[in-house]
Amino acid sequence: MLHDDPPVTSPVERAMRRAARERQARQEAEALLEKKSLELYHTNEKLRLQAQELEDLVRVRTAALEKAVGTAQAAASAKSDFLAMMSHEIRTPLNGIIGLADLLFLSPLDDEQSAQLGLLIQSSHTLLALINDILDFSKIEAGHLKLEEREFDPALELESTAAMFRPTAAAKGLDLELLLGDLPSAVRGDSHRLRQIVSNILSNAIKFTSAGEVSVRAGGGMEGSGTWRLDLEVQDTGIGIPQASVPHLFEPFSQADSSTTRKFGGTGLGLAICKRLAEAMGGGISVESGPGGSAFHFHVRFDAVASPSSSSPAAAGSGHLASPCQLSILLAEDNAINQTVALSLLGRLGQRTHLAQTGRKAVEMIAAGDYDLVFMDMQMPEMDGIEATKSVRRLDLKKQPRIIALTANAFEADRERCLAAGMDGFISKPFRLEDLRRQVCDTCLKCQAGAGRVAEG
Amino acid sequence: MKGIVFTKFIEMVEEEFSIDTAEEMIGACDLPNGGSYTSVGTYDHRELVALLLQLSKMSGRPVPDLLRAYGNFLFGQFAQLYPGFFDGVTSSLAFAAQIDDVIHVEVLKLYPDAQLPRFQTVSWTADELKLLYRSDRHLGDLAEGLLEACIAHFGEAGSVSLRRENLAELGEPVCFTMTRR
Repeated sequence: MLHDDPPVTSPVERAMRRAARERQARQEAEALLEKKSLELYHTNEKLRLQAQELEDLVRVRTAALEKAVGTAQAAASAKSDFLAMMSHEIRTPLNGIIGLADLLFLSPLDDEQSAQLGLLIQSSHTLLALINDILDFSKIEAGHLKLEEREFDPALELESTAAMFRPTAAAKGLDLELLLGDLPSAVRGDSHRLRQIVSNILSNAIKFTSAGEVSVRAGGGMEGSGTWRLDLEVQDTGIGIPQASVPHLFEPFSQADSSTTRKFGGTGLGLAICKRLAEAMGGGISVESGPGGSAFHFHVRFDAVASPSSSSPAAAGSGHLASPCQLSILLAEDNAINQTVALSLLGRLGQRTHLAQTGRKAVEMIAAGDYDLVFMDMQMPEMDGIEATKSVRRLDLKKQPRIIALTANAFEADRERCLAAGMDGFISKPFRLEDLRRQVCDTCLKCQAGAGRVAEG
Repeated sequence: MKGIVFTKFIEMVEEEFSIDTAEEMIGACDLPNGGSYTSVGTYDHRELVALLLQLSKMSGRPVPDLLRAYGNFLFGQFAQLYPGFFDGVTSSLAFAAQIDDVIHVEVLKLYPDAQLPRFQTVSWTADELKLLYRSDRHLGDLAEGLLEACIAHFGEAGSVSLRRENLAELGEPVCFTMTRR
């Protein structure tokens, strides 16, 4: 050994020392473990508090976001209300301008005055179309599009829509051809919106075609037991649409080329509205275009009607649109300007019209006379149009007249109120000759169809 | 210094010398805890120096010699305790190259306060690995023992050589070069 005095220890003593060291080491390890456990607990606790704080923060942020969303929605709603109200406020005076301008056109004018008045009328119609489009589009975009569920005759609807455009087409020397396939005599859906789509495409076709023809082909077929699909094609021999513009054609505020804006006018909303309407009616719209002209195709779906109800007219064949027959018409309107405009326009249609200044007077006259068609203002003294219509519908008459509401309100809710009161249709002011003529034509067709049924029976 | 260095050192003395030698060595050093160590504890590294000096005195072997022997022993212990570090590693060079980036990362997860030596890879090719060793403890001899054992573990004692250069007066940093022949 290297040591001078090695420690004298017995094996037992060494074993005891060894055991004591091991025990001490174990106790130290246990103490360390406890310390680590405690640290772990504190760390966990800290994490739990942090998670809690984060959750609180998320709650606060979420509440703030909800509040912001609420504010934004309220602002959007206020804006949309403002838009609707402004459009209503603009329509009312525009009613007077268009009506009086139309009247003035009938009076003796020299060439310069005629030309100026023509521009005035054209501008006011453009303004009206613009207001209508903007209001319509903002309603659709806001998700407020409501489709009517009424029975109608698709052939009759298409014929009277095409009839509205015959004068314009004829004035440009264009043939307007309507080819109807096998259509059912009645379907259920929104005839007003169908007319809107067809009118829009037709008016574009005529606008962009300087020579040749515009043809409308309609067909369709049953899909399953309850759905009828209408396929419609409007073809023109116009200037066509550049290929690059086709993909954007149905986007809002887009026109084939910005120079068209100046040359042809238009809001750029029409086709965007058509697309959304067609889609809302379970269909779609597409276009093919080349240098030789454009062809718009669209399809919509209606509920099939098994057996048309008696109020729906019998199927009207091709070319059935008669020139206005002589009707017995009553105008219920308290406003002097509107009276003059409506009476004058109806006079131009060859109709002689009686006048009622109040709703109460209108009911008395209808009860005493035998009217085919009543134009009913919504707001009149003593009794408004809704009340008057309800009273008329309660009368025991040999024949109930068609009642068409005249109103400056362009809201869907007003339409619904009119229809709920028992009215048959709706013209929003400022009404135009075409609107009145359409109602007169429809009434003539219905009277003839009704007379036919009676004669057959 | 982590307790495992102490517990394994005492184990080595017991196995390669004798239980009595270990007892004697511990008894002769005036250690604060009477020589009781747990691998999860942390202790002053001067206690290891005291034990080493005492063992050297008792056995007549120089301290560097003892440290290399301990490095050899310690590597074998690690191989038994942590076989996971050897998964997919097929050569001593590859193993030594991953000490800093893989093994010490794992050690720090268990012992965030551990003060570990650095084995910095200076260059690494298929046939040569240069490592720079740095530690506050100046245990270059222990590192050399570990690397020797690593080469032996992979059965490469005949094919891989280990060269050591002390780059400074105190012996650190130390550059180890492992070369495949």
